[in-house]
Amino acid sequence: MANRLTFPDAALPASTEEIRGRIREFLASELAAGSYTPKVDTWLSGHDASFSKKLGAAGFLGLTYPREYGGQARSALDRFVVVEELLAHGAPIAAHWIAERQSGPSIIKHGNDAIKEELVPGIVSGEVYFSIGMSEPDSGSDLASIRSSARKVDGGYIVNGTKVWTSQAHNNHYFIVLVRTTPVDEAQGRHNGMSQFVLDLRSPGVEIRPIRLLSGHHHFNEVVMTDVFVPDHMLLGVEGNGWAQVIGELAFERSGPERILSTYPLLAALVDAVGPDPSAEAAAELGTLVARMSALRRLSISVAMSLDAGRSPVTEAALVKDLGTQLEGEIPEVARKIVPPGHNETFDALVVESVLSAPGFTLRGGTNEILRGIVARELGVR
Amino acid sequence: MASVDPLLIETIESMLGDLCTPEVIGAAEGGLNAKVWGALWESGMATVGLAESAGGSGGSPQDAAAIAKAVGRFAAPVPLVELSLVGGWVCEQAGIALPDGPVAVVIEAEAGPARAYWCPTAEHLVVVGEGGVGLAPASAATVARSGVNQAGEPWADVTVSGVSLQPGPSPLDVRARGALARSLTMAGALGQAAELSVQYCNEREQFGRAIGKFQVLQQYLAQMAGEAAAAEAAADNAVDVVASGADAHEAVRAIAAAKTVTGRAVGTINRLAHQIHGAIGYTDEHRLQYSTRRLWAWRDEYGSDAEWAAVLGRSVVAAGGPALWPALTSWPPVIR
Repeated sequence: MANRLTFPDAALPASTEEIRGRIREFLASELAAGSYTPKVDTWLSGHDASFSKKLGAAGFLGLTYPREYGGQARSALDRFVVVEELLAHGAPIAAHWIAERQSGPSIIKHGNDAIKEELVPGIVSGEVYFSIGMSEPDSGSDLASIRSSARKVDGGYIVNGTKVWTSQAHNNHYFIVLVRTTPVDEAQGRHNGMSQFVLDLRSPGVEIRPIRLLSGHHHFNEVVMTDVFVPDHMLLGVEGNGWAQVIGELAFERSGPERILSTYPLLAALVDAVGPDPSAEAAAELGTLVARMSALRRLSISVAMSLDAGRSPVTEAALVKDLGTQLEGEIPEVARKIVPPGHNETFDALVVESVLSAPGFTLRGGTNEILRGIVARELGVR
Repeated sequence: MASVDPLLIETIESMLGDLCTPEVIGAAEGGLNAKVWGALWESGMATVGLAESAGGSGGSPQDAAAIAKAVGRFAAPVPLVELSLVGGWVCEQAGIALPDGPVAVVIEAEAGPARAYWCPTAEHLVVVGEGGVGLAPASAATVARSGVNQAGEPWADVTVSGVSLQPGPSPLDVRARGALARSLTMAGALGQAAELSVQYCNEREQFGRAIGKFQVLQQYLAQMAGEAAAAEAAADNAVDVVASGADAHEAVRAIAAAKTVTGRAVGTINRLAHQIHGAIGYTDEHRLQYSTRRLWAWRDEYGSDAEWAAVLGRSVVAAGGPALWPALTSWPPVIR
């Protein structure tokens, strides 16, 4: 319990510069070849299997994974650099995103040898894609109230239940699903009795229903599981230990640069849209966004370094995500204020896309109100 | 990035924590507290970050920054940063021997007198003009006007004549150093206002429980912690950029970002700190005012956040959209 949070050690080592140079070259050449158009929020909506495969083939995925599964055993800071470059350049990275960010590390940490050998190399090559199987229709912020369940049968488990807000389930191959393996009234405490399974979304009994967003986009789904058989070796980690595993997964989910940079491509476009001779007010609005971005990036680096050093900066990550997602939403608000609609088609589209995506920024991966609760508890007031 | 010796932080915080009681801070308004100044001077803390060859205590810019943050955190009623980060730096850069007492920095205006913070308490003036820089005794100033800022810290609008000038940092660069100094003291004071609010939420009871049990106040405290962290990060970025030996233009950009983020954080943190503290925090008797009044004053000194944000914004559009990302990723500089 402290009355303040501190963010020490914030500077990337010079060893990260080599890979930053390489990913910038890769992106420049892909952009020149017309293989992508920079967009906002591409880590959730830019599903492009061919682009993910190219990244995998070029050695930009699974950087931190062990060598025996195709990884490069590199520092998490190398990955931080690659990821922030991909986001800042608005590249389409949704296909491999969840798999590479959290499913792979979770499988490597908790999975048995069979599951690792079966799935991790495909994640590294950018060919095997995962969604997240946490939220349910009646379990959002209160994740421990989930009702999906699995019961033991010969050779595996039978899973029943409904998951929701499952981004890209219709395009991806698996999700790691959190279910009850012991009913809540028999478990010792509501956080006990949950387990995680790697569930093939193409299994019989899985129905994937689209949930369209107000933008018209389809990346959300509802996933209904009716008597879905999951073989024994797809139990992830220890039966009953699902809650602890899921919390570990959230540390990966909340700490990254995607919580700051979702609308960065609009900020870069705004600089040119404002033009060389801005009013003092427009210059100040733009300068404020840039200043804020630079400060939050430092905090994000600090969290990444802390994770890399083996610490668990859960509260710090929550704080940075709260600030970063607010900035992501602020960028389109400022953009439309200082460059009125009708500037040009590309720019206008980035603004509109950002505005329509913005409600999600401060909801996904833990609402900002939940995150502030985590921060407040660490400050010592709960 | 040079890391700061924890012992240095412990020493300065313990020194200022003991000396800067609410009574001492309150009684010093309109001037400085000689005991606090003496302790900082005699311990060498006042000139940390200035080269020993120039008469300073040595140490890194990050060390000087840590002391500046502590000065802000404890609301030390002394013009320490006018010496350690602004005036002393000008002397060091120009090869002028460091003066042996409190200084004020006079950045000459195009016409008429210039605002010099802490001038009424200064023994020496560091004069900065288009023609160069120089050191003058306080008696060389002609005072057009004087007063105190919102925190009771004195200033004067002065002209200085008869100073011999020599090559040194430009007025813009010195103004930026002033903005860096204020950003750092603000970072400290913002953290203090946030911490005092946490303490108050645990102490004050209403409806039969500590007010910190109410979710809305928890949300406020978390927001304040966030704003304070962002402000300190912006100030630290600027210090690291300066320490890396970046050119003056780059240093000004990083400092502009720091003054923007710290200055803007004042609005949010002061508003929430006072909202949390209720009527008692709005009174003369509560110590919160020694942080919040300083923050309101400092955000306007050496250029407001709006002014520096526009400086940064103009620089960004001049470089163009594709140059922004390489610029952002150069702060903080990588560790070599």
